[in-house]
Amino acid sequence: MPRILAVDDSPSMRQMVGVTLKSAGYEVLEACDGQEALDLAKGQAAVDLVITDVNMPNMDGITLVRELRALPHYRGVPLLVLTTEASAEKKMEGKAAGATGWVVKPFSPDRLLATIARIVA
Amino acid sequence: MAQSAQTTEAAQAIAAAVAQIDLAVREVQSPVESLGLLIDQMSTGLGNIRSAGRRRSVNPDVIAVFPDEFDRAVDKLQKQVEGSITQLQFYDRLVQHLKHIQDYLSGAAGELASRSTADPQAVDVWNGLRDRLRTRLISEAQRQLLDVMLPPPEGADFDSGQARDELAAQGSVELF
Repeated sequence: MPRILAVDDSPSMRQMVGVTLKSAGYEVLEACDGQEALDLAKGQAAVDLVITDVNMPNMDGITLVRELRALPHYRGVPLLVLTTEASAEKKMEGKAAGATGWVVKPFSPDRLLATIARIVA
Repeated sequence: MAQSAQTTEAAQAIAAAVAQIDLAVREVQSPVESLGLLIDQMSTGLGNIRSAGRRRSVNPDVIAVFPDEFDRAVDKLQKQVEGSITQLQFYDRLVQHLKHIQDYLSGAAGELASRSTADPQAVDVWNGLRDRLRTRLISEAQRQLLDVMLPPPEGADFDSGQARDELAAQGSVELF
């Protein structure tokens, strides 16, 4: 089953994303900010998808996307941004950094899973 | 001198309010995490029930009572768990909103404590604090409330209609 890295500084959000993904049978890795996620990635953690928040301490989600895209083994990995940020400007920033898609919180579990199935397939 | 003392008191009052917001958020963190855990457990339980349901085709005696009603009940429970997951995320939005307000108030308290109100540069600082908060707010309703309570300085042009158009809807998905 595909393995997904969920990155969010909010424990309750990580929990909700985790519950949703696990209910569909995905294996879930968690990181509480961009830096921890990047450390996991640099430690050769192989994942099929990264779902990241934007506003986080230590390293924000847009920077994480940019840093992950610079890693050879993450160039082809889909990077989905899951955030309360809804402005077109922020979204374009994410796209320019290399994000695969943008989901605005609060997410609906079935819609998120349908999107993931499309990306990871 | 009296004005300076009042300014200091105002700064302390704001700092106290910021600390109260912080405490309120921390106090509710644990119950919310427990709620998340309960949803997690319900979701796992639901998965187990579904598995048991699938086994009944092999051994009808496993769950032999009204299979259609069983399926409907499981589907309904599934929808309720999904609804709980969506609704609980509004807590995360609340915390994020409060963090932005705390930052704004902390900045305001810092300015009050360090500057004379007669300082002509203070106006720019206040406007800068307001602009930063407005940019970080996460919904049009939050921005409109700020504009009503703390109108933008003369000459500033915030087009709320345009801002609304540019905002993606909650729960929206866009693949690049």
